[in-house]
Amino acid sequence: MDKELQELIKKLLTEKKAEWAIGYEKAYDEFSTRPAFIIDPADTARLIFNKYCINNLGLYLTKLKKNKLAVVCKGCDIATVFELIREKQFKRENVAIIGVACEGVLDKRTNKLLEKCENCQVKQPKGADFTLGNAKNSEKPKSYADVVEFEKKSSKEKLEFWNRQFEKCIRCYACRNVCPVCYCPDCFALRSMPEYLSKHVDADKNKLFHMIRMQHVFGRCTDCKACDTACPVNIPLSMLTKKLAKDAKELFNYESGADTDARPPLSTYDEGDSESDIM
Amino acid sequence: MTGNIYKPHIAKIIDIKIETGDIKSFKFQFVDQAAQKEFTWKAGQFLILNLFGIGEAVFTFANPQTRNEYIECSIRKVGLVSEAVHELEIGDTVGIRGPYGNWFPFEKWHGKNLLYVAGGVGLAALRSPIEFALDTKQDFKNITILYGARSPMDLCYKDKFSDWEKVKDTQMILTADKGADGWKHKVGFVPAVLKEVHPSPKDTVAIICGPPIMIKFVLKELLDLGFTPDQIVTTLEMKMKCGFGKCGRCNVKHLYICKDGPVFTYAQLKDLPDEY
Amino acid sequence: MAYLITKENIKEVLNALIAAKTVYAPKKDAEDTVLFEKLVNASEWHGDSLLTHTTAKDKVYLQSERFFKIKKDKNGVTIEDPAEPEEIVIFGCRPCDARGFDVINKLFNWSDFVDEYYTKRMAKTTIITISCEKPESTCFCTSFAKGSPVNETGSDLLLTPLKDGKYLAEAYTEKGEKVISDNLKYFSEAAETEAKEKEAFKTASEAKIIKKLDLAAIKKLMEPAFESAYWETVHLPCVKCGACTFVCPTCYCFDITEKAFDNMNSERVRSWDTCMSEIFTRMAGGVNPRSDTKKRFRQRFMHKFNYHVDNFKEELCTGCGRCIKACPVSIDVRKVIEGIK
Repeated sequence: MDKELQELIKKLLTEKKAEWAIGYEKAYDEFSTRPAFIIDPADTARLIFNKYCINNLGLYLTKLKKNKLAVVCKGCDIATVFELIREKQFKRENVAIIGVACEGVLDKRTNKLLEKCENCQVKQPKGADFTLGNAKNSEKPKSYADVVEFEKKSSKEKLEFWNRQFEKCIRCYACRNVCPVCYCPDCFALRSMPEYLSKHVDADKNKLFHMIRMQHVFGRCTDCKACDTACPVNIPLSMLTKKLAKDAKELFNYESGADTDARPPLSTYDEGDSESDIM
Repeated sequence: MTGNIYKPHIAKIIDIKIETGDIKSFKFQFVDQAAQKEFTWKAGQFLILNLFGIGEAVFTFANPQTRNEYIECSIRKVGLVSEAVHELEIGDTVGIRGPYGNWFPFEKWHGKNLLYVAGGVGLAALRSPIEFALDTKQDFKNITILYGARSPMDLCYKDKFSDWEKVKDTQMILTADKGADGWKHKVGFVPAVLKEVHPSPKDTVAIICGPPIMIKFVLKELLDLGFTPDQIVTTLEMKMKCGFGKCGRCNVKHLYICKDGPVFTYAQLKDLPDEY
Repeated sequence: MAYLITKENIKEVLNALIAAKTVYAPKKDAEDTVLFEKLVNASEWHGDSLLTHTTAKDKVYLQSERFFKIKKDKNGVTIEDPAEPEEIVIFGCRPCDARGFDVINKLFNWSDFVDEYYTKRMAKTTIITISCEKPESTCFCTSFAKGSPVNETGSDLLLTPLKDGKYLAEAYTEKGEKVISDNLKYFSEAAETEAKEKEAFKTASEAKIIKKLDLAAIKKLMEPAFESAYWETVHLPCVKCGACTFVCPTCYCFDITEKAFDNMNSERVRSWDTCMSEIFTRMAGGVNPRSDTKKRFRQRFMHKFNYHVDNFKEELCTGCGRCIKACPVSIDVRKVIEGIK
């Protein structure tokens, strides 16, 4: 697929259909890849796609101030691009989505398949402008069994679990900064006038940060696991994002990134809305 | 330096004066009188003011060491701490730690003319070196102070000017970008007035402070007048937290503004990248 | 004098230390995160991983440290100093981490200003290091003058694994000697052949490190490269989080803030800060000399391999490679600085 990908991007850049292209290249060892930014059509030879292409490149669409971008997306990453279009961060016609068929990606830390890749419905990407490769989507639907299992725990057990996790947190903000929908230029966590969150790092403050972030991304988070895989101390943030996805689906029958014209649950009101607490 | 370098002296506000719409001058005195007597600094150095319950912020000494019975700071309302300082009243308690940084090397300037060029609130950083030079005038020849602001309203230390001018061989030149009724001084930007005044670089040190755009054009004028880069001295402002080169944020290349500065000659600055 | 100790006896010594002091050692949790944590029993020690996810730096240079408590009342303000630090042992760190302490010791003792919060805690810290048998693809300690998988800089006691499950124990400070003399029954004297074995261990271990950088040459490249177009594109993948700086054994930048409990009580806190953050250099009023991401990215590498060398004659890096592993987009410090043009 790499050759095809390189040729396609070369063509898009040469024909000026994109000013920049964002793809993947090899990083420091055979288990790691990193985002690659291509401007020169002659520079596409380093582009690759493999099971270590874990980053969600949709992240960069709000960061690069360019008119026309081409971006390599796994099926799941396309949901992010659609969500950002829905949020009017850029126009659909200004981004060329290169969908790549994907059999799942591996966590570089554990070399295990990411949990989101099991029962994946978009191994074969949907909604891309160009699609490379073939993959067969899972026949089973996304499973929330692990969230359901966790929900059964008592409040005390849940609290103990998360307290331990947030004790580990070093507030490096990797989770926030890799999150494609966390693009606020002036995050609440950094404001000093007024100060919402003290710089003091302790389990309580850390928990506050993560809880506020989760509230902010509810109905926008596509459960892409970027935050989870970015965490340098392995906090299982994906348990929280998956819970968000489950609640959005169960309480509001809403799925982020599915529809570029949708109104997310927290920005609309309907008399029939569920009143249960999303957290 | 022994003891806890982060621990401030406890001080009280003994006087507050409104300078302009957003600048107030505060006089502080240590609660420990012996500590106040021992406390000294050199013009150009700065201190870190502690607002208990709010935080710390960096301010330059506004008064010279020759008048050290109190510590004075002129504070513009721009941030978390400075806004809170503006709410304080006489008798309120603050903390002060310092002094930090280098100073204007007056000991090297004995027998020279001093030319001060300041714009807007930049005069706050030059008041201490101006008054130090005036207090030790016997060591220097002529002193010229060129000071400008957007409007006559924006000039700081208006009440000081007459005292300064009274000192032998001292000249004050005031200008405003835009004049106003009753304004008897010059109208125009500081660099243009500098060109008009045409000071000689012979045996002269130029000490400048003001907004970056003013500095840029004042530098050009001074160089055109024949000042060499080592005859031009300024003081820099960067975000600082510790005051002694440890917190890591105020560097320009390997130099820390808090430790290796804030006073630099243009000869030093012209080789540094534009990252301040 | 060098000693020998078996792995079983190391655990005995560890238990003796735990009984007397607070001991931090690598411990693995349910999410497979290995961190320096307070041990209750030597059996919790996880010695199998090369590196912990974060360093032991935070045991001496706390991520958030209370400087003092401030109490206001009608008579004024009183400042209440914190309690004196307790004696601690950092057990099982690696030579790169131990050397990290040596690097930041110099910073906290720099110029006339000695940071007592750090130096007092450091004085009460004993560092027991274990030489690295299996360096990973991200390791590059041998690029540094003092760096090696068996280097003792910053360690009080160095344990080097030899054949037959034995370790060579070498004390480099009084604190290290005391660990041995307090637990002498677990140690036996080493012979000269064992010192030679350590040499062989060093050679074998160093051979596993795939990358050795010419840092002097890189510094020469960096000096004129401040305005280089190289920085325009190399920073693009970087998401400007602080993961690299917070897992680094040498990154020391901090912020000082106040934490108010109510109108009368507050405390002054120092917290780690990161040069990657936009607010790191943003002044009150909004002016920011390192406003754009390129400048912040450049600052990090320039500081570590150029500016810090000017001030301290050594790099602000020990080659542990944690920043490479922790980076969410796999930015490799070695590639970044080698590629400077």
